[in-house]
Amino acid sequence: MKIFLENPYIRLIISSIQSKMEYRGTFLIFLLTILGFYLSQVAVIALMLYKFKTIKGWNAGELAMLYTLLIFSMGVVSTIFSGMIDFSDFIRKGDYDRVLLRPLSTIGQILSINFDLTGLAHLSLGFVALVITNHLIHINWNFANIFYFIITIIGGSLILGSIRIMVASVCFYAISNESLQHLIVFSSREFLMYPLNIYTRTVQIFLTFIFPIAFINYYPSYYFLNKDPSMIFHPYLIYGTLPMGIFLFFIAIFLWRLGERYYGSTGS
Amino acid sequence: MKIYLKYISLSFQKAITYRIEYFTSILNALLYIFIFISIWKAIIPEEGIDNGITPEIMTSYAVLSTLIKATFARSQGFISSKVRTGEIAVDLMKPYSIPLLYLSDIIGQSLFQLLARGIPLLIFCIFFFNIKIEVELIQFIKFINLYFLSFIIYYLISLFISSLSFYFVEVFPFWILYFALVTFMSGAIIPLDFFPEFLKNIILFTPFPYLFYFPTMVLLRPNQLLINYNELLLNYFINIVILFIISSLIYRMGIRKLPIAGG
Amino acid sequence: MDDQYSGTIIVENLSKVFYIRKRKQGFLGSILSLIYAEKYPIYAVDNISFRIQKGEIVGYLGPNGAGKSTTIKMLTGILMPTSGRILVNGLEPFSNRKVVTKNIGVVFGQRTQLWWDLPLYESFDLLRIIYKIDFKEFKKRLDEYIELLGLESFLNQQVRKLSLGQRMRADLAASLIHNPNILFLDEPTIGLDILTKDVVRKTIKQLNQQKKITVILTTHDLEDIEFLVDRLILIDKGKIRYDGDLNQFIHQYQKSKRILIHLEEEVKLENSLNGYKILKNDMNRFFEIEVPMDESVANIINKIQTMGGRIQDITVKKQELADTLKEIYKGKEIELS
Repeated sequence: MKIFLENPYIRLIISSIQSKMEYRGTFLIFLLTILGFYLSQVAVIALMLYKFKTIKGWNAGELAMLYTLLIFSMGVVSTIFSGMIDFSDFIRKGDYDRVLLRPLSTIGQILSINFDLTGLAHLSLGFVALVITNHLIHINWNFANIFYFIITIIGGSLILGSIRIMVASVCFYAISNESLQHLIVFSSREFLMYPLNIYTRTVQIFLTFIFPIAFINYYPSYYFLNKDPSMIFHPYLIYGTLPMGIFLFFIAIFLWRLGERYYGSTGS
Repeated sequence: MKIYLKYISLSFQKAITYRIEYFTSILNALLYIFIFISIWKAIIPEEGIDNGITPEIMTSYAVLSTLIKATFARSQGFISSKVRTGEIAVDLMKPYSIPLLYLSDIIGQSLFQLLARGIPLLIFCIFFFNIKIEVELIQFIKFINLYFLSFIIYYLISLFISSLSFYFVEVFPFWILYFALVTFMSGAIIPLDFFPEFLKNIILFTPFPYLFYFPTMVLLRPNQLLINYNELLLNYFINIVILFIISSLIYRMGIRKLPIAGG
Repeated sequence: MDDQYSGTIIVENLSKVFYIRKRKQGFLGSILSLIYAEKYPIYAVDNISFRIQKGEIVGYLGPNGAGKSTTIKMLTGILMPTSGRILVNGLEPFSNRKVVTKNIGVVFGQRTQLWWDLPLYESFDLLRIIYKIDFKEFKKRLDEYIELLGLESFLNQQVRKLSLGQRMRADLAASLIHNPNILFLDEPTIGLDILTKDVVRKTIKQLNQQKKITVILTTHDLEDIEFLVDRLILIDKGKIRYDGDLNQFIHQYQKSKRILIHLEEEVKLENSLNGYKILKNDMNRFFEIEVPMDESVANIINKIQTMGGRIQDITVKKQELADTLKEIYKGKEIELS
């Protein structure tokens, strides 16, 4: 335990949590925001299902599974990778220079300093979604499934987190990445709330191999729901979440380092 | 009067300067449209349902309702930021009406969005998504009427919520509630026809479906309107009158509250 | 880290070039510049060289835009040099960031390194963990700085509630807590009241003498320089204009001195004081005049008495750093060694 507390990144995370405790009001507002958002989305889908029973072969329980995986990954990411979202302000205010002056990893510091527990609001909604999923569909939660569920969330978080890092590294080159960020965050959520097979083949390829967010909830759902994988490009894609997450993470770090080097030669 | 015209022009110009915002917001709207067209194509059978609603019609519906929504500018912070900073005290001493100024601001931004977003989006969708909208002149005129009436309703609701900032420190939750209700009940995504009977009747009592659903349907399926046109007009006016009374009251009482509370 | 390099800074032929996009005027021009923009180079730092030994206190001065902060950023590893060599404690700062930062301390006058929402002692504890400071050493040093800088009274306060003076003192302690052998100070006394300035300056001087910490000071506050600095490096338009002893600099470029004269009675001295420039005249009784350096005070007294003035008080003001610098900043071509 002592060794745990003596680790600089852990302590920075703890300090971040302590600092943000001051602003408790924001947590409630944030919770309300995502509650309002997801509830309206769910209402829309519920209505569609009421009328049409299934969406391209996906019933209510299966759609709930999609939501569950998505919300959990979003929760983990908004907790850990919050620092990347505010990175353009961070650099502009000169805080990045301060990070460079400490004998610690830059990414490590940026993530630790901005560790944000309000992301837990997502996690609580995720649990609700999980309960609903279970209510609608029977999933055998044996050890293997639970284990793979955790793996999927980790992989999904890595995918989303890597995307955040890549978007943030644009700040090294341009003053603001606000709009790009908004676009990416928006689309990475909107597309995933419905099963991928409703989109054209081109879009499916795009969301699998170029902007690979489909791995966050669509492909792993096949595993948990025991769905017939004959319709997707290749059955092994079902297991691709963690590998894709790790792969993207390395790319993200590489691009980040490139950005840091660029910053070193041109300044802010 | 001049002040308001000037303000319309100002907020139009302000909108132009945010170029990157412009491109990404167009992209966002396109994505949105694309997702919904995909959904409708996936779940509605070729031959159509419910008295002739085909995937093609729903495609046009998705485009139209999103376009209308895109041309209604969001100006949430206008009044509430003035209240928070106390600037409103200064504004109240000037010879203009704040609600009207707010209206001018929204009109200015909406004009910009109509020209700079609405029209390009429409052109893009016609080519890319293969929209076919056959319109008779009469229908188009009816549509324009409803569009303006709907805009007024939109403005009045926004005024109402903005005026709540006189009473509450954080108005943000109300906006969220509003957006959630709009997403669900305004026909922005799902046409009223798809709702179960009892829900449909409840929603018709609210002003929300008048925002996007009816203007869209009067253009797309003028012969199968849920409510005939004349009755529709009546409903619009009733909604506008009620909203006008409510928002004026809240606004005026709010202003009166201000000096007492110390601003 | 080589022991012979400890506390030293070596800069050889250092240059830093930035490329600025030339923006074209007009509507057409702005569209064109979206596609292609001409870049032209700015030499923020132009082939400078110097060596700083362990324990020196160096004032690094120059007008705004001279290249000071660019140099400091390269010395601290934030920016990469375009060409040339830097060795801080014997290592290249940019490529050895994590190692070099362990042994340097940096104070930015305008931004704090402390944690805004947490009590002050928490910031120190975090630094202890970040720099892996041995607890006993940490406690000893912290107590010393608390005493020296008077931090006791607000140790439990949140940093955001501290006054500027308190925060600066805390920042200084924070920059030294890990026992660095080189300290970079950027505007450390900006905005501070006289008492706090005094405390800060005295602490820096004391620690420099006790622990032989090398200090690089960038500031516009000339009293800081006069109190602390032995050696002056002057940079302008990217090039070093002067590098040497501070006092020598002042004497070398002293061209005139100022004399304050307090007469017993009103006397009109204006017209008769040819050769002397009258700077101030208060009621024809209190004068401040500027005279050439080699003019003897006896001559001056004589001249005035001849005109009928009876001198009650006379003061010779020593040449101020400010005056010399003003001349240089104004761009006057002074022969610099």
